[in-house]
Amino acid sequence: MDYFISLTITGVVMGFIFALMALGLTLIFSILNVINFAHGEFYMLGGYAIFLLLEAFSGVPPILMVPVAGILVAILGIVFEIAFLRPMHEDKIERPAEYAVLITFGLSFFLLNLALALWGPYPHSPPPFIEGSVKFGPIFISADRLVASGMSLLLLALLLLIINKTWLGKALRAVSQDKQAAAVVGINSEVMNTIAFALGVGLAAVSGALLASTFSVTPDVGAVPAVRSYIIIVLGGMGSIPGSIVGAIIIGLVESYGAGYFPDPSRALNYKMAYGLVIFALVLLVRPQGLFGRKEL
Amino acid sequence: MELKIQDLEKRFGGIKALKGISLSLLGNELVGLIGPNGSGKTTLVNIIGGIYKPDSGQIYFNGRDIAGLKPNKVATEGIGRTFQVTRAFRRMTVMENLLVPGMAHDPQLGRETWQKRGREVLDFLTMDHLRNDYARSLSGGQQKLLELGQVLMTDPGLILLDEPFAGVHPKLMETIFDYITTLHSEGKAFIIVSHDMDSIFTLSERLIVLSYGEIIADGDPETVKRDEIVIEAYLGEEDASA
Amino acid sequence: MSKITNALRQPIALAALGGLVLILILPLFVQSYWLHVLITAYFYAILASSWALLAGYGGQFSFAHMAFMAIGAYVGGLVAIHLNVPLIASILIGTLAAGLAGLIIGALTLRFKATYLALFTIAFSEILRITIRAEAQITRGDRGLKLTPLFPDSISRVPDYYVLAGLLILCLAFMYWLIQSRVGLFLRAIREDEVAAAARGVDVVRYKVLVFVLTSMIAGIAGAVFANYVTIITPNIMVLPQMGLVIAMAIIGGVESLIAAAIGAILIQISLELLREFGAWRMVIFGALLIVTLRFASSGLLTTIFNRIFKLGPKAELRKGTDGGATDDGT
Repeated sequence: MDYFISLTITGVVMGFIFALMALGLTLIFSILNVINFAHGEFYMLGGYAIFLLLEAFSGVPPILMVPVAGILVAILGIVFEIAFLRPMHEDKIERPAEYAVLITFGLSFFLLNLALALWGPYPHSPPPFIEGSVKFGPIFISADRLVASGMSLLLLALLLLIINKTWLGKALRAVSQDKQAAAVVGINSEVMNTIAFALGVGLAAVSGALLASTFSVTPDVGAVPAVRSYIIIVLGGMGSIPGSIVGAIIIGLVESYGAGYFPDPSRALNYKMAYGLVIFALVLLVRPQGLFGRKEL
Repeated sequence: MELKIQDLEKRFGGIKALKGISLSLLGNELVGLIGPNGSGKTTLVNIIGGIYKPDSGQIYFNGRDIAGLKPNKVATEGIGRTFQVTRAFRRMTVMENLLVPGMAHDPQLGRETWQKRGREVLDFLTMDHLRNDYARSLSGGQQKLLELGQVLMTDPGLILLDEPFAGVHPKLMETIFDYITTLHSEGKAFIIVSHDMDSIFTLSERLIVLSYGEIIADGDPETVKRDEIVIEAYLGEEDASA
Repeated sequence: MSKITNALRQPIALAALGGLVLILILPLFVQSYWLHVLITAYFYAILASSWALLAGYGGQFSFAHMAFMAIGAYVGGLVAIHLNVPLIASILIGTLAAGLAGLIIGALTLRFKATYLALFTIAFSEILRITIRAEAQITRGDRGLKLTPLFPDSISRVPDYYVLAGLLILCLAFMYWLIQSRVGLFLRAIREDEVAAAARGVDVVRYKVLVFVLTSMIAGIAGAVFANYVTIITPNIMVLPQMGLVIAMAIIGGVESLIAAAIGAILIQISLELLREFGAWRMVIFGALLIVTLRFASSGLLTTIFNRIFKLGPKAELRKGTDGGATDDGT
């Protein structure tokens, strides 16, 4: 199989996985107007959650614990949102934009160190979903990664269904477009905020749970996925759902081609994140609304 | 003081906010700028003040080309402006609020000189007792006066007031009225944007009416008031909102 | 009222003087190990207070501060090693390099509001870190770049202590001078309302970039000097959690007060040492403290406590009403 095609497949497979977490981030931005700088740490918590769940209930097929991990972390998200983000919308905070940045960054700092204190710096690996790997040309993709990608695709489809076809989805869309108008028709934007945040971090946690066996879980395992998510939603357009999916696939491909074609293989992997970051910086400078998103500085 | 605007145009996206505006002010005129909602009044003020760049056209102030100059440069040229929603520096004291325009205009004069000037301005506005208070502890009306004070610090030749009477209670309105009249008699030119018809008709010597980005009338208040085109423009607005 | 503020000023001045004397005579009583703790504390104090100037005072919450610190350290170190530049010159070059980077980033991010500024500066910081790590042939990457010590012939840490202490005092003095000058006045105006500041004649672009350049140079010189104290640097000096630590110090101390941020940094660093047995839980405590401070005492824990004791600050004004009051002197 052509090297290029193998790289493309890898890129797309990873892209779907990235999309799930990025979707969570864009959802939070869309409804709450906040970039969750702790998104990576919720991913990390999802990884630890599934590890701990599988240790406690060792007989259960790992794939079933993925949604449980997501829900548990989502509950944490609800607590944080109510305690620390809700005041923003009740006019209790002086400089809300800066506060949002700092409080989520502070949460990130707190959660990272909490994980370090609770579980130490050494990697924890939950058992895989399936053993083995699949060959695509010269490249092998582990079965686990394919399962993760497949699950992500499934969940993405489910989410699109919810957002477009259910009342909850309509309510969320209403609030993201115009809070006051939504309030007039009886939608409680505070509750929607909480739901959106819980859903958003839940998706990050599910991502983390899906990839826990592939990459192992350490306290800082969320750092790179977090930065990647920022890149994706800025590229796709902050607040745009199709944007986060398209952006995720693009970044998946960029990282794949970047690593695959970099002239010096010994440094290739090191620079993998750099390509996305450079795209990120350029988009912020040249077209901050990204591919699909609203233009808001 | 001379303000010359020629064929000013400005569009936002697909909408043309100003279509070929031309007007001149000479000496200490007191001009009222009125027009239905969305007619372009604040856009015009924002362009003169440097917040927007005109798409085409010229603006000359005292012979100098100020079109597209940044707001701080426009202020240096001698044009002061207030905002529809007061923008005082809330967590700074009243005196500091006044020092900012002064020190920005000419830092060489030194803080003490500008503090003296600040107290003069505060005396004029009978707010000297508030000089060490934080701006945010002032009432809305006092903040409006503070903004006026900031403008007066550098003794501008032209003052743009954007809705100076909006949300102001009658007593304070009288006070602002008096200040404007006094300053006008001292030689300052004014362009006042206002929806308050009574005040603006009484105050202005000259009325410019905007509608859909064009000047539809320019003359003394009595004549303009009775102008059919003007009445239609406002009635049209009434119809739309009825 | 002014009589009272003058009287209040006395204790503050005395306290500052006392603090200065304390810093200068500490080496006489303190063992080498604690000197190291203090030297590290002063390093963080310089970073926290300069970040407070940029963010709290200037309103630009940048996440690139550690990147500028790293530029100072690496550029200074690399010119010393590869171009045989003497120590002081290499430190100055590192500082200027950091300033140049600050100029570029400051200019690029002029129109960015909080969220976009955070994202962009994070991206810049990470790109830099990845590059330093990847180009290990030049920078030695994770293995670490070895630098000449500040005082190669001395076994005692005392001279290093005085250098960092002196640097801290110098930087604080410079930043205070800046704040009292019209730069401080304009920065506060810009922070309050950029549009209004411009309408009142303030050259917003110039002052926003200026504060970026100056604070990045301060971070750079701190990096260059500290690097030559620890004598080995890796890209890990600029990982995001390090930026988080500096932010935590500044915010817990008091993000709108340079001295509070500096004291906050020193106290936190000392606490981290004292609480060593708590291991990783130390940072958890500070993380929690950071979040709680942001939510309930946004002007900083130290600042809030100080203000309550001496009844100063804007909130006190609102409580008292408008019968005059202490003027805002920038502390």
